[in-house]
Amino acid sequence: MGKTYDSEKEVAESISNDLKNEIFLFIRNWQKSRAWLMTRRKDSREIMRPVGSFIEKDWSVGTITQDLHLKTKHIANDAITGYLWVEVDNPRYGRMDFPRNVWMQGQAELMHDDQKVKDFFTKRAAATGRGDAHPTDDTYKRILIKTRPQYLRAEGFYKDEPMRAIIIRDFNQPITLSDESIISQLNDFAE
Amino acid sequence: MGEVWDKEKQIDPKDSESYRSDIYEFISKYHSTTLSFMMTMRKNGQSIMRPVSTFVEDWHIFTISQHHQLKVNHVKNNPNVGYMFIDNGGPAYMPLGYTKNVWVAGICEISYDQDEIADFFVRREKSTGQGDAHPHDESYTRVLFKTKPTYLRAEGFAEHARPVVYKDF
Repeated sequence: MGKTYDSEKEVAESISNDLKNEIFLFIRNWQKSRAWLMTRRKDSREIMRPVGSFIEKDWSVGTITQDLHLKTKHIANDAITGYLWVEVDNPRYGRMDFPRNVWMQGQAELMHDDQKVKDFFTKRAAATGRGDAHPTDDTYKRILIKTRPQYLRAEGFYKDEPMRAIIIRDFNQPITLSDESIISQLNDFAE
Repeated sequence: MGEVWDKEKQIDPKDSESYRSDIYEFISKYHSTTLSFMMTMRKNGQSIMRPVSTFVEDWHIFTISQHHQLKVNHVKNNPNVGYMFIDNGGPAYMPLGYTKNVWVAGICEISYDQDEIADFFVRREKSTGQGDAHPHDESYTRVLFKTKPTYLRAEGFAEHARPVVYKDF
């Protein structure tokens, strides 16, 4: 089409595949990126708020909520969720001067089982050093929101043309990086 | 309720008004430190979000698009849209590092009227220095999204992580 459109169009699938590890590490790096979760109300309108998030190698994303939070009710009524991740304190890309960003849309499940929640904290603590964020507050029940992705759109990752969107639609192949390699690469980013 | 909940519960509506001008000023910044992302919905009911430019007048949010962009079709099919405004430069208001952020849901109207769009570029240029971002690209028709807000949720303006919510604009 035109020059503007060409600079923004989706990249080839082979490029998206090559960038999967980098996008995964970007989402996993909670110190360098911020996450917002979208849920839907009963009237189908979306709402977003900041959350903590933890992505696993099968691309599923976990967020801890409380039984009395509205987002818990929203997901019980409508399983469609979305995450926006935005990078902080890093170089920006493109003519709009944006930081790298990722949108992921998926289907969420609420996990009420205490053992599953505990397992999630254990896994997250091993990978990031963050277990239960509020270990001394016993006034609420922890619930795990587990989102399985259906669609991912990332910008700023294709260095030749950073405004072009990277789209991932197939999440059947898990990330094959070892835990040690992930931690090592995230530590490198932190330095 | 508990300690965590008390730091996250909504600000009482009668106390929310004191934040209105700060929140308006925040979303009105033209992607310098405030970044904006727009959400639209596909035909299959799935939502999608991408970075956009925004210009705000009297709480209405304006974004320029191209006639062949997917988001134009999305809005034609479903005028419910959302905007996420994020502070990419300010101080964090909570331990996870979150900075000010505002979610706005609204109803979007699409304008193809090129006179109205030319007038929009003039107003935006006067206010921000940015008129038509691609004046030499004639390969597409400019389209203007005009979103009337119906719901706003802002964090980082009141104490802790307590959101301010507006439904009246």
